[in-house]
Amino acid sequence: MLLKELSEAFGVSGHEDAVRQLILNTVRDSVDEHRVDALGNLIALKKGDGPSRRKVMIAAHMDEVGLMIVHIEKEGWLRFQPVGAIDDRILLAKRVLIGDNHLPGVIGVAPIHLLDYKARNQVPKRKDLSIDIGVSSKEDAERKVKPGDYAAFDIAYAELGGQLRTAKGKAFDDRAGCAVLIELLRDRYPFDLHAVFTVQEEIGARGARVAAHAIAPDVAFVLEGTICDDMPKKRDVSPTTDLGAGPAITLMDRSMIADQRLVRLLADTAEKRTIPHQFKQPGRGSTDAGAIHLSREGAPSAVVSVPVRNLHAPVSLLSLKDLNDTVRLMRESLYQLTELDLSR
Amino acid sequence: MDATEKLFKELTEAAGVPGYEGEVRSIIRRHLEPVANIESDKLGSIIGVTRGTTDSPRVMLAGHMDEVGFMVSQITDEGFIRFVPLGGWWDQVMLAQRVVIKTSSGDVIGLLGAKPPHLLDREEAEKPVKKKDMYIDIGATSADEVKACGVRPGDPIIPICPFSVLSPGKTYMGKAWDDRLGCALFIETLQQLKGQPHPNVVYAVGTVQEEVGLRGARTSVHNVNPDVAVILEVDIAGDVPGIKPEESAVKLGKGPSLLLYDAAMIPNLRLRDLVITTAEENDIPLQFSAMRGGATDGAEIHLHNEGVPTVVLAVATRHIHSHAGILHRSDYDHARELLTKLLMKLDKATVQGLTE
Amino acid sequence: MKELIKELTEAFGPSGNEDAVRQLIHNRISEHVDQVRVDSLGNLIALKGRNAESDVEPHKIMLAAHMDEIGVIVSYIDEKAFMRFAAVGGVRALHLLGSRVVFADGTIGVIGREKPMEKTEFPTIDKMYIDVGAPDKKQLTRKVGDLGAFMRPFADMGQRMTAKAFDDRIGCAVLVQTLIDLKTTPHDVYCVFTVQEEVGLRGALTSAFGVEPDVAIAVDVTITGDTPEAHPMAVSLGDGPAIKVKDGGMLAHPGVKNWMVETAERLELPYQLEVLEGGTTDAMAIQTSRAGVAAGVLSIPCRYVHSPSEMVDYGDVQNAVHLLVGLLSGPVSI
Repeated sequence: MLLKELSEAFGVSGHEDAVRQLILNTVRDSVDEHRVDALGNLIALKKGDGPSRRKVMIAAHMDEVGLMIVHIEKEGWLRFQPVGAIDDRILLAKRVLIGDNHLPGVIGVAPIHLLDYKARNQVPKRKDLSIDIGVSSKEDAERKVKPGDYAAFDIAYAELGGQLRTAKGKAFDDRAGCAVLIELLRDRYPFDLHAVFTVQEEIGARGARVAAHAIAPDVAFVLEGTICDDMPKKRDVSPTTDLGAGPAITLMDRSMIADQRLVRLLADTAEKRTIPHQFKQPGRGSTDAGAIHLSREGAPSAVVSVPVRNLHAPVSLLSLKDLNDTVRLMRESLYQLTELDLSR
Repeated sequence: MDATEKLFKELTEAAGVPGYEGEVRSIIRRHLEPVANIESDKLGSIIGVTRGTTDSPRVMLAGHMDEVGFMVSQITDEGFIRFVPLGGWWDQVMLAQRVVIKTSSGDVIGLLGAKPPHLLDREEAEKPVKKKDMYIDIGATSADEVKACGVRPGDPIIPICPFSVLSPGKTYMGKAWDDRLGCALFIETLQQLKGQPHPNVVYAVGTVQEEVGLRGARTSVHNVNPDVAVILEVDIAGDVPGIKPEESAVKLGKGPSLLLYDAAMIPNLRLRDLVITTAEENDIPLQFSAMRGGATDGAEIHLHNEGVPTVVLAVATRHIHSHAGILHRSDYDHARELLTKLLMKLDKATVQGLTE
Repeated sequence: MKELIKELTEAFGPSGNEDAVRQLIHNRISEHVDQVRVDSLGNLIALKGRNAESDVEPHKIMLAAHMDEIGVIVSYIDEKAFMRFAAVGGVRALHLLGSRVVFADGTIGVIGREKPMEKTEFPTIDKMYIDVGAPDKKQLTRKVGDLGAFMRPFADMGQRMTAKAFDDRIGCAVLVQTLIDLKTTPHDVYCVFTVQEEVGLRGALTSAFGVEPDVAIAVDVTITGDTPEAHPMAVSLGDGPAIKVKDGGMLAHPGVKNWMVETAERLELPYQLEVLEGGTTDAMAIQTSRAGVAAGVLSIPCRYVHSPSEMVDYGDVQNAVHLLVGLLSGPVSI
């Protein structure tokens, strides 16, 4: 199953090679042209079969949050930095795989000492943590690992079933978006579709910035995995999105205000085709669209997301029903896109 | 003093806060003119171009001309000067330091002051003084006197620190190592390249306004349009008391450092590895550092157009962003050697291979 | 000019929804410019072309003022029709207490607040809500995503005026009046009325890329240091428009700054020099467009910025127009 392979593939921001290779092998026969740019973005073109001259860009990012090894201690412990936003609290005791050889390691707290009551009630800070790869000297460690190597969380994908057909795994942000884009590439649309699997979104939408500059699209969509915090709450306030309520349309996040005409197109299409959908709570998060919509002279943009629980934590959760509804919504909306007047 | 030390003195003693880099630009121009063609962008960055044996690839070397400083924001009725920082300053390195204000009537010297400790109660005396409670004293007793000296809101203010060779003989003290060090590196590298065949065109860029937002990098890269870039910066030395090895393992005298990661850029991994291999082949010591909280001109350069493979090569310096910093001559020499050897390798095929 | 200012400040235009303001401005300037277009983000770009007979060296000059104001966006509606919201741009919770907001269709809402846990609790947006007086959710016409702006009428106090959104409708008014008063110019003057400044200078970024100016001047408000226990600042209401040297995001090109100072002195217009610690303007985005642009800012001193009752001095506004007309009528000397 494609989502399984995508989720288990390794691609921390800055080193997305393995994910890119997997995606390229999957879409190679679905697209007319493809290339990889200087930063590592995979840019594929599916030519249109209609008269529309509109250039449509759709982006999903390949990178996941992870760690980078920065220093090897004399006892063989590995010090690291997070790459992308990771809550320090979820690091302790997690299993990781390091480097292209996937060397296993565990995040422990070093040096080992007896923790008193006070220490046990505190959250260890990231800078006090290190990775244990089971060696006892720096020389042994240096034979297997070097500073600059990446580490990703070691989590297997699994389907949990249930009414919402949930699945658990790492990196649904944004391998879910990649899965949607791969599905969309099976069809041909009445306009040229520039599908971009971007790099380094988690550290500042960097891949999207250069890809958009190269493509100069007339309109853009971004496919994401987004915050879903629908656990029971004490106060009556909105969860950012709800699992099972369908693809989430962004109105406004920290990085952009969605083009209202595109939002209306998406919402109207969902109503007409009876596709469940929701609006993401305004004001939270940022995406590749932040960079794309401001490229050159600007491009009207919108973001559609699959709700994902435990977003930047090792084990995240999504609903396969939401994923399929996202594909449906995007596909139907893209077919309506040619009629949409985007002039001012 | 040898030629390098004279260059260090000239560059570090020059006045050039963000937006007001003219003095530094003139010095760089004078040194580069004999070995390069001079171009610029529209913000004030200077670009020295030296063509080797081919027209491509285009290699950009970037060092920023601006140093951290201050700007006059208001003159009080009693004749003291309120100021804002240009670039990042830790409050605790400022009091009692000397500064010079560049007014339209000439240089005005002053000092950074605050309420004297003799008049503070115990609790107040234990707390660090914040910038907003400091002032600059130019020895006036009224606002009119200050204005008569030519001081106006907006005038740039530069730290005072003469360049010195330190007693051990291999280290130097001066202001603005960040980033006149980078400028010295590209000047001497271009001087060395003249007459030596190199398989590329080298653009040495003295950027402006790095300390306030990498602005000159963003505009100059537009004109240079590089295929590959090396940022020349200072690194934060971790060999003074109070720093744990996991916070920074970089030491003076142990070689130039390569940044694995900073807040705004991940280096091109193949270029990073090429630098490491080049150092190993030539027995040049190399250190590694990761800067979670800082960024360099590379942040803007590597995202230019369709992306540019970029790395940061740095020289460890103690006490940056204060009036006086210290660095080691051997680290500078090794950095220059590594850079020159690297430039010889950056031919068309190699540079293309960085992004295939 | 006060009628123009009243009309502009009372118009509805939170970031991303500047249509009404753009229409107003378009109507006022169309007969005074040679070309008008709207770009894909919604920026209004008006060109007053140069007088070909002039022998002054022509430049492409971009002037910018932003059309958007800060506002609120509905994020959640509960069963009883109370609406939670998020800020659009730099809205301070303190200014919302007791305020009214208005939606695009004219519906009025009142901002209420949950009972604080302690008397001294600082108000925050997550504990506020908008009440439009609907009995329940079913009878509500509002939706998640609706935008609201401060509701406050313009008031003429004589020498001074107060209104919401002087930031930056006063800048827009200054540009409109400049286009009206400027009969002829040796330069190609692009007056850009930008969108989405308050959420990150977004319109300025894209419009500068399209216009590619040589020189740019943004017209926006700046705060003053002349109220009780104010943060020290050298700008005061009534002492003339402020020529910016530095703000939180940008250092004015010294050449542009000096050109503005010399012109003001030559025309015997009052002016002040401004160093602003926090905050920035469209000029920051324009300055680093492509290979860079020589950029400066002409600021209108304004008290109580980002509150529903901002205050400016009419003399400062008029002198800003005189200075701009003076700058655009002669050579650029930077």
